[in-house]
Amino acid sequence: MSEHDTIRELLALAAAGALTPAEEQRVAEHVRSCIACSNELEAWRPIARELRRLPTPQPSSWLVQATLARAEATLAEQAEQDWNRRALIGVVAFSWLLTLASWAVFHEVSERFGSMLAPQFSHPWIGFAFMALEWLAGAAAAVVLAVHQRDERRLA
Amino acid sequence: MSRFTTELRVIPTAAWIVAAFAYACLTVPLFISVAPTDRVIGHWPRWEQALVVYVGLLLVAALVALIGYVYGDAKRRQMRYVMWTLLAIFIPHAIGIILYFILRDPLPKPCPGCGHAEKAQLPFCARCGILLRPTCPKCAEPVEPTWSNCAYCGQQLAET
Repeated sequence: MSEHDTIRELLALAAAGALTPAEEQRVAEHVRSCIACSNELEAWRPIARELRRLPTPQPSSWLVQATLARAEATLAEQAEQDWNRRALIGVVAFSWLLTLASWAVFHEVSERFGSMLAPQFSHPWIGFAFMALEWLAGAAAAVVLAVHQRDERRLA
Repeated sequence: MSRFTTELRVIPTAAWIVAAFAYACLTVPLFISVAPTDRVIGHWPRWEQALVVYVGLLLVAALVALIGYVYGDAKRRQMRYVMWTLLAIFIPHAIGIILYFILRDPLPKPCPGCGHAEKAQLPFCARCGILLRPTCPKCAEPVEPTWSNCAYCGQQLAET
């Protein structure tokens, strides 16, 4: 794109006073040497002048209040979601710590008291099966609760 | 006050007391009688045994405090706090607490008329009857303040 074409695209904005000082300087320099652009700029000036005279549309107080309320609600919701995410990460990490710690406790208890219950009680696979069952029970509870809560929200 | 401190205040005093009691009741006998006779940590120096017992059992205290948090928070959010507390207690490995954090309702908002906290999704205050969320005059579904038309029935909404 030539300098002439670039400046032509800026002429309407120059008439409206919407250019940066550097762009204004560039347009002024070009217009001094280009009659076509000078005429076009002069044609734009009365249009820009008349447009400035038009009253600026003011949003209704209802719209301003509604928009502010909406923005506040959105910000509060985002803050709540961020906090929920962080809390959830913390609780999941805690859950894993608890699982690892309970493995040590399981070993300790099975070594001391396992023989009283059954000779096989201290076998490692029982611990794994026990833990898998626990997580499975948790997953089943999650599904049941999620379905229950969805139904409750639908009724509300 | 940070959000974390605010949330800590949700935990009831009784939960803190139970957590401290459980911690004291478990750590002291474990450190005095179990740790010295244990096959693995029994040969360790006493300070290492103390570290394992006293730091390890902080998990138990934290678990009790978290159960207390679930109780207080579910109550604050007008959820079924007894059910959620029981789930937090009885589902092992804190899975009940994870479920609570995933499925909990949003915080109730105070009613501008009477200050009574109401569930966020309710359109009217149950105490004073004031409109909490704008509703469509035709189908009575809750509408957003910025909508020009109801998204459920298409009714044009007045900008008053």
